[in-house]
Amino acid sequence: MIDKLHFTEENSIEDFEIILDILAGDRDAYKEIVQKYEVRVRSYCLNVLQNSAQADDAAQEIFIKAYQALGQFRGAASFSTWLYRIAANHCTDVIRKIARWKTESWEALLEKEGEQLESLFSVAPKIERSEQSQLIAKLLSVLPEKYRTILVLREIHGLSYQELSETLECSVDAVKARLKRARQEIEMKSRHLLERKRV
Amino acid sequence: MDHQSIKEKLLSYKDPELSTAEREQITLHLTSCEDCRSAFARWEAVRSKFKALPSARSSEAFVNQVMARLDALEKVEPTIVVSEQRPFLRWLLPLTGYAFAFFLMILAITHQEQQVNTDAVLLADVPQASQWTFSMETPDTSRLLGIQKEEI
Repeated sequence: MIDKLHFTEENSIEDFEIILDILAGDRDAYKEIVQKYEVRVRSYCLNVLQNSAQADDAAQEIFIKAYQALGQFRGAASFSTWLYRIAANHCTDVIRKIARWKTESWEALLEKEGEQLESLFSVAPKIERSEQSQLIAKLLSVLPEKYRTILVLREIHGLSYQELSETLECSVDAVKARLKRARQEIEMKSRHLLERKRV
Repeated sequence: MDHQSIKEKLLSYKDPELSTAEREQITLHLTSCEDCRSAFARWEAVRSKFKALPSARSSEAFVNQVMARLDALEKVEPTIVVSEQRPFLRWLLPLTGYAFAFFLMILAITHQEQQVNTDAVLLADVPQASQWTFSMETPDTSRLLGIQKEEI
């Protein structure tokens, strides 16, 4: 199996060597992988799940799953993209479980925080950064899960179209289409907010 | 590109994957279209605030928790994927079962016992020849019992 693992430019040599060591039986080598990627994975979980305790639990599960599936890593994509794929799938499952008892509609959010939301769409907002962060989190939470996932991966974690396609296991054209719809969804909400204000 | 085509690509204006030609066309369109300019400004305002979302801080405790969980799961080892061997002609077994069941069904239909219409039997003027028709004649018990009458 090990000889099937092939090196690509996207994979760092360091990751490649560590993975070979782990697969050869050196479990402790996995600590280097966790240390290297824990901030990225925990941040992704936090951005998507918006709860630090749930995010840390999810991140732990993701690293355990990644370890158990390490034998399936072929090196065609970078290790970080492969890890993001596991993280995206795991967080999708968690969101679907949470959604059974916790969903807030866009209308409910407008009723509660209409005025503050308006500042999100303003170039010169009159609110603090911490408030901006809470509002963005709330805005993301009313989006469909697939839009939330792609926006976090693209706008916060900076994945390219190609990396998104490998992470979300779809074509680059599908990535472009989904990203466009996700962005349009936010733009439409901003338009709706402004029209509501005029009425 | 017309207004609709521009609108489709407007929100990806800052994506490095967009071609230079496409970007130039959008730039030109933005100078003349108030609606697109305003939509793009709203999107950019939101996009710039995505960075305000909190990110996790490096935590050695987290790393140790993951490693402790791996240690606790003694049997957990990186799984090497072995492609599953599918038995040859795996579909044949259920197919044989279905064929046999079908055969039994056909057999049951073709060898059905002839049904007696009881109404027709009871209401008929003429006695019907069936296992339920009673003979009015007194049976010859001697013949049935195989006793030969002695001739006087």
